[in-house]
Amino acid sequence: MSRAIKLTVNGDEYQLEVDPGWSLAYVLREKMGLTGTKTACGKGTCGSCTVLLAGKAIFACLKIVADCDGEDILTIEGLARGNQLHPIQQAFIDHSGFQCGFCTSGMIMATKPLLDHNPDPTDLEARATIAGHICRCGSYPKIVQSMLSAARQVRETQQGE
Amino acid sequence: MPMEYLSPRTLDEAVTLLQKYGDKAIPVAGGTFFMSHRDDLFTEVEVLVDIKKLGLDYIKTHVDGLAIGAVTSLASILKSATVNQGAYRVIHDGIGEIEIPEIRNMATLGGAVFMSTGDMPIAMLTVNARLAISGPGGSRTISLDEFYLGFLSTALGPGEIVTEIQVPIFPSRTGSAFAKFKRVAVDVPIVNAAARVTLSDNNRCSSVRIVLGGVADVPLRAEKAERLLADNDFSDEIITKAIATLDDLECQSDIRASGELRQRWAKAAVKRVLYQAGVRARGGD
Repeated sequence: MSRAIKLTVNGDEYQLEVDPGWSLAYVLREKMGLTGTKTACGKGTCGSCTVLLAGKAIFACLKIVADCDGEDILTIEGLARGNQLHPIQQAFIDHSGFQCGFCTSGMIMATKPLLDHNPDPTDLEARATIAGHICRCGSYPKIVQSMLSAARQVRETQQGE
Repeated sequence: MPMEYLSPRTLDEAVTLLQKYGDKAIPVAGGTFFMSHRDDLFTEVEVLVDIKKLGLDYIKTHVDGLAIGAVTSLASILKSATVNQGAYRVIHDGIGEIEIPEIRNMATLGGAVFMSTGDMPIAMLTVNARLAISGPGGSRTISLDEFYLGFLSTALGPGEIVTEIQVPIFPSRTGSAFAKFKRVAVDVPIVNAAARVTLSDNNRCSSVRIVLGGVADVPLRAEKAERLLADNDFSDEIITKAIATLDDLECQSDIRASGELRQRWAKAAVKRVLYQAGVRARGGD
């Protein structure tokens, strides 16, 4: 029995009929065409599907979408403002924080709430943030460097304001 | 594949639904365990009963302890200053060891206590937790000591759900600590341990609990060690003897670690948590 829900994704409101068994990841990718969120494992053990729900990082593959009525979701596609990349995205480019790119949207989405709450994270805090993320290419050092650089960038921008 | 997702607004409604659908239904809160295991452990499930709209998300302090609503997220509990002090620190530290923010944001304490091979059962057993349960027969409470019957098998009856986790108050000079050996945060722990120690003014151990996880399908109380420590000086000598009681501990072997390695780590984990709990009981960190 499908359920009607209202979902805001990257600022756009959607009205959907969803099956009880569908995950948020499934709906984002297969129903909305937002394939930036990846489903490498589909069971919450790789981090490639991290999105933000009400500003908090969650694994979209584990989130029952029928439970998302009225929720506000941010995916990787929602980070940039037009052609202007978010500082986290820019930092990952500047510091080569990826190789194949498959884990990257998850890594970037996980970084956002860290910076929202902790403007000056330590190396260990950055690593703990991505404790649930696997990078099969082994880019972890560059990923952490990108995260910390993004933090610096955001701090400097805020200080300038 | 689930056919229904139902969101009851009252506890009675939830219990009625669970009773109605029997084995075909499960309660869900965070849903993380269900979603990650629906193809192996939950193939028979057709109905998901959402228990998040029943007002079970809270952390309350009473004169005789803490009451945590079953669907309170681990992230909320981690942020609580009340839970990060005295005897309760083991709860905070246990959640800290889960490490993954995404899981902590979604998972609830009520759900986490079901994972007999996870971290929260160990932490909660250390602080003598009780579960408040509601079901077709009404409400009852049960000590967590009696809850675990086997891997994913608990003392819950048909149609029953856990509504609250209750933790008593402990005397001052009580410290607690948590230790975990793991390969990666996304996997179950290889071995974890927690201890709660109450010290009298002359450094005698007046009360102690030591709980081990990962060595079997269910948490294990290190009872011989506890008996040695209780009513004794909390000294290096006694602690060493207490840890030696784990010499004949038989631990499970699996792809993560051999029984022998688990046994060594179990002893190291117990040593670490005993010392840290003792330091904290005396007012240190």
